[in-house]
Amino acid sequence: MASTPKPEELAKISYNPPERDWMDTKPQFRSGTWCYASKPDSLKSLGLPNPRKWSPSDEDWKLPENWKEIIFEGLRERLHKFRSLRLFMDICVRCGACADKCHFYLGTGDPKNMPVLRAELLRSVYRKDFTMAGKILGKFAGARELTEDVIKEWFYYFFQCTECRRCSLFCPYGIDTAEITIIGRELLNLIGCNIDWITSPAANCYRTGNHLGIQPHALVDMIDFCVDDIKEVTGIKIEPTINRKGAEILFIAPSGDVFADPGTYTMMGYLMLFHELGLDYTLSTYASEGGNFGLFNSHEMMKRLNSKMYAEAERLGAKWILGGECGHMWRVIHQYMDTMNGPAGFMEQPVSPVTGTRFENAKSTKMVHITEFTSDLIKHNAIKLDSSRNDQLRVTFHDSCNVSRAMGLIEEPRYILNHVCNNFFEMPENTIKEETFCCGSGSGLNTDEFMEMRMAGGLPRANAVRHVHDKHGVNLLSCICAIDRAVLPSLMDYWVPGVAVSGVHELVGNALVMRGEKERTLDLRMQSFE
Amino acid sequence: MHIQTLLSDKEADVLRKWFYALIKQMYPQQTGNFFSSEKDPFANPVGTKIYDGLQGIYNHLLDNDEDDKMSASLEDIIRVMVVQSTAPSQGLSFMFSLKDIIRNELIGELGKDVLGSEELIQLERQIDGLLLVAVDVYHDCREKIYANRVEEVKRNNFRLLQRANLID
Repeated sequence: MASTPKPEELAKISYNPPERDWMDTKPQFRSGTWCYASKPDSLKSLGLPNPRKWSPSDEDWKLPENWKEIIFEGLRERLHKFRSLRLFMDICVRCGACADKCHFYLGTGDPKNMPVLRAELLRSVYRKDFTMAGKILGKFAGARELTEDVIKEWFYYFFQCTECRRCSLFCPYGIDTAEITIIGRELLNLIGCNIDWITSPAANCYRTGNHLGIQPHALVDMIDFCVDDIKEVTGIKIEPTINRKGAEILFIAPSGDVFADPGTYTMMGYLMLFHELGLDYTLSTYASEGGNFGLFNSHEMMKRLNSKMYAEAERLGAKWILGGECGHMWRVIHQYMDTMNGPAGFMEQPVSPVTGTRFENAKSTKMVHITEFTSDLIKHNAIKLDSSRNDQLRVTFHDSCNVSRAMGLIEEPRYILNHVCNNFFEMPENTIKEETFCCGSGSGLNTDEFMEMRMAGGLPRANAVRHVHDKHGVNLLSCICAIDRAVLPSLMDYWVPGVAVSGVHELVGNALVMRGEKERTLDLRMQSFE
Repeated sequence: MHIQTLLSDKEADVLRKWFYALIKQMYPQQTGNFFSSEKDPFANPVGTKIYDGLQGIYNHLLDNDEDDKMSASLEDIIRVMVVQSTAPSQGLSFMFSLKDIIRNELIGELGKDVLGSEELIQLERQIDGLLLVAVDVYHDCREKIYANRVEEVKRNNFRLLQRANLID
């Protein structure tokens, strides 16, 4: 919470209002601070409304004729459906505790990136048409008319929030501003105002199973590349099975680990570990994406994409699902899945076949996080590790927002890191664990045309990395999220050159001593251990 | 009194004025208050980066340091300006306020005659040179943004490019 000001500080407060009211300040659509609009084909394939060619930089956004009616009806429906939304609309006292906690506000200084003001963008419309005070008093009660300019402002700022929920941690009322952003985006979706890097990946996941729309044969080819690289590093030929019915475990990773650098090294780490354990598992080319881009689109789309994982587990007859190092997949599993598509009664409560540990926390969802699984292995001495192989690395750990704040997974990755490397350094307390700073690119904003805003939003995170880089010579930022692995290299390159990015299981793969391996001289990036 | 020594003694005043001029020019009032009052560098990275950067530039200027030392301090601020400002003219405008602040400080201490002093003219030449270094730094940062956009697209499609024999 905000600290209580001292009397002398209070005396200094200026009571003069700003020159211009926030309602009269329009956003500037500056290049690098907004994302491209959805492609009509992607909207069509998802059955979403108002597919058309347009750009946020256009004057005319080609809204449907009755757009206002659609928004009001959509808001009415959601206020009725989500009691939390009604609460969040009414109970904020504008104390400002959240104001300086958002990485986008800290990085840009734009007051509309204060979570309280971002929420006011929607609240002001709610007040005007859904509250008596707003209807009668209008602007005096913080209410305003819904106009096309308001829609543009919504678009600009609801797609400048990564739904990371850091602000909600500091709200004395527990208002989850991310949920307000989620609803704001849902409303925009109703009139076809959405961004392509959310809609197209969602369409690809829906059609093909992963966010780039990689088809099954190509996906297998890419896993083969991993297998070849593992053989070169360890001398061991591993044989992962794909779409195998009857496997005990279905393993689902974020698809970025299959085809994006540096996620591919994390994928190699998973496969090496499973081989060494002799795990009865299968990958799937249909449930080939852990990430759920539906979450960034709407509740309905999130449910649609999440259901594919469970449908595939049922088709293959898996007993439980092991999930890779992904961010929002875990938020969906932990916060929504159970009441959305679950409980998954056709599967069994996960039990580690190696240690016999029953994962009580996964009793209902039947899905275990890979860091829970691996830390349990280490705790039971079930794998042999040579942590000195990572001695050239000085490592810190970025808590990914979704797994730390939305799931409470804090200690497991640290436990693993402390066993697979000898040089681990924490960033300052108010930048990690529950208070972690977002990468600045989550919730579908990890697209290249948004780079300037991403660098600004990522500054608080990068600033903390810079601190441990300068103080301890940290040269590796590890994380357990595929979006982090995709975006943090650019962030580091801009703010803290000399710091690389990896998944935790890449370091596990380096340290893992495998039976029958040749003398290991190379890490998973084919670089010498020296 | 030697101008250089006087400006060293006046460091805190000059920096405060320079910092507030920048903050006022770049940010809305409430944001400016926050950026200038929060002292925790992790809770307020922009404010602390700007202050530290200005301090570095000022000290290097008075010590007549080499351009590469100056670049490092300029980078601290300009990296922020590149991602926040609408144009280079906005992002680099903070450099122009330094001359006025220094002149006013010196006039206050030594009177208007100081404006004709060779030592001040030399210092202002140095500040002009510094502006050119700042333009280079700004350009490098912009270039980095565009390079990162390209590199990221390649990284995110690494295996696809490998599969198409477009990358080793």
